[in-house]
Amino acid sequence: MTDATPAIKVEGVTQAYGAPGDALRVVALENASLAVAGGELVCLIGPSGCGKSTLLNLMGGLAMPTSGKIWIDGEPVTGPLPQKVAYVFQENALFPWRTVLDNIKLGMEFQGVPQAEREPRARESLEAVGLSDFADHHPGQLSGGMKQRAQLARALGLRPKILLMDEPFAALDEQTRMVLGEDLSVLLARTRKTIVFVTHSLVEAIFLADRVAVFSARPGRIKQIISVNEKHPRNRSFMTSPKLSQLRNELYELLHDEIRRTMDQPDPEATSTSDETFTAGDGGKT
Amino acid sequence: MSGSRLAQRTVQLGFLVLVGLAWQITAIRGGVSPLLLPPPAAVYREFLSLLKTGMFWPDLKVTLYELSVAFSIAAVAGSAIGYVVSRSGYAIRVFDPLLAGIFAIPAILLYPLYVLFFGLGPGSKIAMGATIAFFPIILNTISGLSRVDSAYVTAARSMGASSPQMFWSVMLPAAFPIVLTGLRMGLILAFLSILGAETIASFSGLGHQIAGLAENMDTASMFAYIVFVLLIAFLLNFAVSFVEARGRNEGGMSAASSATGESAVRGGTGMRLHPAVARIGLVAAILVASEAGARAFGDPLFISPPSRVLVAIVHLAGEKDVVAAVTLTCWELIVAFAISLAIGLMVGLMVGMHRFTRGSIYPIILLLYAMPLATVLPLFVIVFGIGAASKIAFGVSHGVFPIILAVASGVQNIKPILLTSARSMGASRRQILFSVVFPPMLPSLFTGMRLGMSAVLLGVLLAELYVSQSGVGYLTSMFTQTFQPHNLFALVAILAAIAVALNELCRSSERRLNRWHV
Repeated sequence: MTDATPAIKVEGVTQAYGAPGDALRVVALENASLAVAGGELVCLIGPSGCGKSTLLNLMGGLAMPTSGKIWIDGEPVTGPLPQKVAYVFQENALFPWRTVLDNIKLGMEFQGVPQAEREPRARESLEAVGLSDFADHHPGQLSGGMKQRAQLARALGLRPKILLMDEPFAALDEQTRMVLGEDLSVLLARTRKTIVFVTHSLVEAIFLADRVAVFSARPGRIKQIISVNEKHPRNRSFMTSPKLSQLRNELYELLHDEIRRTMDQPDPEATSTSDETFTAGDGGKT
Repeated sequence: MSGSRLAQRTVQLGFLVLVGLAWQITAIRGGVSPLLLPPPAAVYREFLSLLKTGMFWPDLKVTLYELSVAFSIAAVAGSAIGYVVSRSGYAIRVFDPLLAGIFAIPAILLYPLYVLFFGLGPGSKIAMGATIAFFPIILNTISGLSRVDSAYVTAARSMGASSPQMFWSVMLPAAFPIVLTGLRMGLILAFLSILGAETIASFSGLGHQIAGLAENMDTASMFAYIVFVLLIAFLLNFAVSFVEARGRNEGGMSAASSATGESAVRGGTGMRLHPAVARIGLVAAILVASEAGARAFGDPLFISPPSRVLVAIVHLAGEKDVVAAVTLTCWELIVAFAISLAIGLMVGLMVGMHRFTRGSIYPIILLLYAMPLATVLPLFVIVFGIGAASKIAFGVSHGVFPIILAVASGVQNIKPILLTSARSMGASRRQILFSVVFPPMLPSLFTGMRLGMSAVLLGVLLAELYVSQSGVGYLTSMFTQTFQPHNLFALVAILAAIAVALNELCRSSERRLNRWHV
């Protein structure tokens, strides 16, 4: 908590799908409050359907909360904030008909970067994720890990202060994700970005986060926040340290009952995420 | 959810009421002669009396008789030959492209010839309907049987299934949904082409009745008949989808995977000609056989050997009339296609991008698409005259629907995450349309353009065959009536070449645009 105003401030946010009183109403997130300091990496962890991804979408203005408020740099959020916030999604969100380089340039075009600046900036961010040799490849020709690095490069090309990452490594094998986690830690140490990172992996959460916010089962609430006092960049020795194991066990204790409770609920994702389509362009009337 | 569904129904109902109201008002006060546009009330009266008196029976019987015979022939021949071809992976590679190519040729051009062979009675309609229905049935039989998931075949073989057991218990149930789709398309196409044939030239049948009423300017009765035919068409559609839905349930989920071809077929190795070479050989053999047959047995008034047709092609290319006719038809085709594309893109995007529009307008579009357009051909002539305008309008009425459907489905298939991601990066509405929605839609747009192009060609030719003083359709009827089969075949060959060329152009563009689908 170095800065006076937090980079992200969430206060009493509730998100529900369906009208009040409706039998199908789902409360995805209930009365969540959280402050993320500039340069901090906060992991959100919890059982499926606890509202982690929902909170992430609310932070970036892709959706509006049912009640409560969110501020970015002290400004209330009313819609997408491409100048300040960039996303990395779990699903491959690269445009498959464009090369990696063109994908990054298109992001900047959307954001409003002058044409002359796009190419050098795109190459620079490709360099940062180690994909310079694959600039002219199409996404379909890349491995899963490369695709996620390309997505990260596209997000970095926008030069955001805040990165919102929604289970970015979830679809990758464990070895790849550990290496990408180390790279991310190095990047964080160098650029001092503010990052909110949703994950299902206990080890990943402890390894990456300055603080871990643990969610309860649906309706999702922030149950507890665990601090990991360890400097970035973190590396192998932290991964194998007793400190990480001990924090991981602590986290598992907190999550265990919640996961059991979730497994007895109907599939929550099915009702909520499918609604998020085709109201493109005008700031989240979903 | 339930609230928005109610709103969608309201829009649909409102649309229909609005059309009815506009119709009534134009008919009464618009200064349009009731000969052109009878008020809906008059049509309703005629429709009721039509139902009460049962005047439709003789014509309905004729049309249904033609339909059932034509469909039976096509179904038996198509599935039997399809089965034989599907037994060998090699035969599939030889026949499949050939059949698909022939399918793209507007068979309706042969109708004057069929009239010559089979007369104006049901025979020529049956032949026409059977010809047109044959292709979707055989193509789907082949693709259904050849794409059965090889895991089923391997499993059955490991349990010791005999050849008949393999066919009846594994191949057929697995291929059933796709074969059934072919049968459905065949039935609908047979119905449409029989109605079209009846409209163009016939003694009897529903299409003939409508054309006759149009000529007598008895428009109220004509509309009543059109409404009646639409009713029959919807009943037919409904019955077929009902049977198909049941068939799908019984056959389980579509067990045939569409991704990999010829997996279940034992690929014959050994010394064989390249499929393309064999295909050319096959075509050459057919040409030689028909040359010999036509010279030996054919009546030169009805049929010509290929060599004479070839000479006629060269000869026709120098004839001013013919060049003018082809130019005119091509011009009508281009204008009709351009209009179809513009409307199709606009409506397709609207339908695809907005959930509400999709829910409210889409069912209406599907309803219109299922309409047997040939029955309203006389109406087009009444409204647009017998010049180019009615051909273009009728071509548009055919071409616009495949394009709308392709664009809408292309837009709907875009991954939502791409839109979310573009929005998070600050893309404007225009940027989303041009950079996110358009590029992945292009392949299906080209598919729609290909289907739309052959549909426009069909519409324009139908209109030219029905009533015209110029164009290719007119020339075909003239060559038939004046017993010049070599010229008729030559003209058909030229048209077929144009159709196949356009088809291939679209297909190769489709393939090129699909490059990034690695």
